Amino acid sequence: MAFVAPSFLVLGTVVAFPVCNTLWLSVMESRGKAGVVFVGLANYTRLLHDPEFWAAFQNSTTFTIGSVLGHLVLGLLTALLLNQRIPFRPLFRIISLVPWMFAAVVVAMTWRWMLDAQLGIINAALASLGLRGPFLWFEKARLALPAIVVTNIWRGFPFASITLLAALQAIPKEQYEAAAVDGASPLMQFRFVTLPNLKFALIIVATLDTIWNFKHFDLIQVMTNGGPAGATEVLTTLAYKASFENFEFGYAAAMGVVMSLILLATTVVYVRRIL
Amino acid sequence: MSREARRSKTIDRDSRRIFLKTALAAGGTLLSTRLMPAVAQGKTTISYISYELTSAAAGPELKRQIAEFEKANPSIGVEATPTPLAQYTAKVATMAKAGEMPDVATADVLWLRGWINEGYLKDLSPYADKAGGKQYLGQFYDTLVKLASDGNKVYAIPAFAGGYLIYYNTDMYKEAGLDPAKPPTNWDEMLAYAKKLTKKDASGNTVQWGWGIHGQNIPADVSRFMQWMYSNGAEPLSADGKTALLDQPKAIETLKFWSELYTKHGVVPPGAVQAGPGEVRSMFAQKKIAMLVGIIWGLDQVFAENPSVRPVTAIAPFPKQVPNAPSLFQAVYNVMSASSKHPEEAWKLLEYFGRPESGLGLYKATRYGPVRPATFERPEVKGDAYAQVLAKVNQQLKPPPIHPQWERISKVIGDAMQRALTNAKTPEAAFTEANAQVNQILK
Repeated sequence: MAFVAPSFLVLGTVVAFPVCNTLWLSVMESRGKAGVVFVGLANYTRLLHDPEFWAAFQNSTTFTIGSVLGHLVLGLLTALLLNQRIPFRPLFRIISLVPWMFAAVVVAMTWRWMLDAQLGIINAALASLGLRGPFLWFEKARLALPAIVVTNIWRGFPFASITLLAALQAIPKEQYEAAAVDGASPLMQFRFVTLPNLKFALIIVATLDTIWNFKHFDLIQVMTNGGPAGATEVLTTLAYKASFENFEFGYAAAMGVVMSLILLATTVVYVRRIL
Repeated sequence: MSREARRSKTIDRDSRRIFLKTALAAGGTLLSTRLMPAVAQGKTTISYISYELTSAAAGPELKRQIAEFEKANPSIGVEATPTPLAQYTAKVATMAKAGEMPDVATADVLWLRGWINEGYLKDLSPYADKAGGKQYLGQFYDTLVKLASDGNKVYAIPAFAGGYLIYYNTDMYKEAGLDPAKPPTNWDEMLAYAKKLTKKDASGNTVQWGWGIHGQNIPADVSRFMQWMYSNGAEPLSADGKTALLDQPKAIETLKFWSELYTKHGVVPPGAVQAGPGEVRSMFAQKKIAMLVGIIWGLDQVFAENPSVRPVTAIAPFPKQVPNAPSLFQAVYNVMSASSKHPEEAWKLLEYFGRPESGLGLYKATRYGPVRPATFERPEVKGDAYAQVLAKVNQQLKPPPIHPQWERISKVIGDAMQRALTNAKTPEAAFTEANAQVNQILK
């Protein structure tokens, strides 16, 4: 018991205390030098009627769905490729992890420059293919969020690929042999052997990825700061601005609590699936 | 009890002892550092946080001044914490909320009102009174002192300041047939010059633009847009700060002219929405743009990026669309934390930074604008052509809008600027919508 107590102490300090503090903050409002006052559910009521909150919620959802789908598709394709007997397979497996190794801020700065309207390599490449530009990736509301989603897909797909690769390698070869004997084409083998065996891994990856991406902050903050004109504002960047720019710590805390409840619901799905 | 059981019990007891000793040692160290952070060998250590410490130009000069201060005050040590600007306000706000804000900090004028209202800062009036009261504060520009005050209380000492002006490339002027000695004095001239300074290559691609626009939704870019507003006689808020004025003709006219430089006249490079002060200065340094609105101390960053532009860079007052239009100024102050445990020592550092010699040292190292009119008469500054333009600009200074909710209002204005730049809304619609949002905030 003496050796478990420190862990509980640490967990209590780094988990329970911040959670309780955030809940307390969410029912308070900072009135500057007058201190903080109890406002009950006023911050939550304000959230419900705040168009900025709902716009950010929509962006968060779009960002999450786009990123998760991208991670799953690209991750699965990569895993399938890396599961084949190709030359230098171990080297390619290592290379496929490279995007994941970089800090989010480094990725954001790099892609921001790559997508720069004037100096970016992506516009230069598109121009060399004959496409008329320049593409103003961060000026058009319909391009800005997709640009960030693509960046996030590039950065995050290695987690999906490595998890799915491990799952692929666990599929018994006999199932494929049996399918081949029964005349199944590669596509049918993929559909009736691979996918069913990957179902559990796909659910785990999708659930974890949803949680991580819904609360994503770094890429968006560095690449666009929520612009242009709020087109890429997500809940995390909105909460950041509310607290550190507007000094509305209570309102930001309320946003944090709402986000946590949404993610808690997702976590329930995860736990029920794996237990 | 078996031998194994006795051995296991001994190991458990020894492990518990090791664990407890380690925990006590760690706790004791932590406690001692918390209880006695500032007293060592009879010296009081005060903490100082500033984003200027990370600046290539200002950092070394500030460290030099700190070393000088410590030499002159052997009983005071200064623990300086350089913090990048991007994290600065969040870090200071977090520390202040925890009652752990460093004794002395740098504060931009845009944050000052918010910090004062949140109770982060100590009233410096008693210390200023001891230093000479009105005579002490009277040496600084009056506007700077007023901005740092709340009623009779003064919360900050000016560090450096300067009005917005324009940078322009004299070589590009000559190539375009313009006289470098006659920069634009109003908006019509500005547009005409910008068109002449925008050049295309043989393939029809624009390779040089007349003007650089700051279109990011950050306080620094909204400040620069405020300069445009002031030069047109427009205001974002009423004098009592209770009503938004963004739907007034002058304000809409400003947004229209400014955004059309990009959307209609094509004298601004692509990517304006992503262009902050650093990006626009970089474009000027790379000779992609001929003019921009800036602050005098940005010049050295341009020269550091490309020394070859130094001899061909001139500055001028921002063109005035209405007579006697003022220049908006940017100012930075030094402040004392309300939770400072060493206010006397902290004041000594503030006073040291506020000396004429400190300001002069900062100007010579960084070109950070002097906060005293008298400094412009010093021989080291009088002979500097850039300083003389700044002295002229500083004759008609106007502070940025000072309002406790300015951060939120600035974001709304920034959104409107971006909507106009991206053609998401017409300038009129963008500012009409922004006006309603700001009035909501002001309620």
